Amino acid sequence: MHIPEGLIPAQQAAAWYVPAVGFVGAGLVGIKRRLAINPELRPLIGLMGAFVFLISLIPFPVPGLGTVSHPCGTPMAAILLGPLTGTVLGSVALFLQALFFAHGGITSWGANVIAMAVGGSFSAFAVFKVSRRAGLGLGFSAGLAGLIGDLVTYGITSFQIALALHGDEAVLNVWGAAFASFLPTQVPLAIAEALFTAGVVVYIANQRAELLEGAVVRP
Amino acid sequence: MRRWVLVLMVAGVFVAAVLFTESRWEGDVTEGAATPLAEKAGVEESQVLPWKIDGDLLLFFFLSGGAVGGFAAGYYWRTLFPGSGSKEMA
Repeated sequence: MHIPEGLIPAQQAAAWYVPAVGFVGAGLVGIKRRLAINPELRPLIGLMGAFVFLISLIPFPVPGLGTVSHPCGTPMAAILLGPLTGTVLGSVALFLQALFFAHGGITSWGANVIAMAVGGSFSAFAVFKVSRRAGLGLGFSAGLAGLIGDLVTYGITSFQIALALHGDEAVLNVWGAAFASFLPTQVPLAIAEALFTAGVVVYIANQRAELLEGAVVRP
Repeated sequence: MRRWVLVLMVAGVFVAAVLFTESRWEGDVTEGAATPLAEKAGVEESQVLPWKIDGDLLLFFFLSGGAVGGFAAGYYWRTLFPGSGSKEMA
């Protein structure tokens, strides 16, 4: 989800920017509207913003493999605040990481936003809603959403890399190989993200259920 | 108490496993997946920003970012759950 500067051709980078900016713009409008109705959401948005920034920046080592990768944080934000708000928080985190932390890039920001902010948020939100409607428990639904949101993020990143660098080979073949190379590192991190997401969502729902009135935790 | 002992044990096993894994821990998994394809395609990472952050400067930004992000997370956590810490201490 931190595709570096220069690996994506200029036209593709620009093409990823268009939907990314659209989602972020819609998310900003949504946040403004929701804060006007319920100003008490402000600290929760602040908390999730800090969590997404920290979680998606920490290079998490995988013992035995000798590789590091990043959880996303956007699934948790999407479950608690909705996918458009999760998108905004993820996009801000990715912008700061590109500017000051040598993670990602300015030209690849649009692609990274689509993978981590949009893909991670919307897939997790959809999984969470479907799981809850199917009668699964809050913690299990949140954990499953965290797991899937994390893996979808890296699935999209693999596709973006394949689309940019497939050369003479078929994009789908390169996508499959790239995604397969992510999995040994990413699956343990996705499980960790699932546990963390479930823990935080259940804790907030237990401690301050009123914060989430009208939100997505209680469909 | 038992919960914290369990957390410390899991953390200890994790840290030990990381420390005894032979690796230089260079670059994250996205770079690992993209670099061979980029080399094959003859594409190199480029620089757009007028500054380059690496070495100890990167360490400085990571520590500063962690401190600021951690402070913000703690501040909003205490705003949302004002009694949680004192309840545990009592």
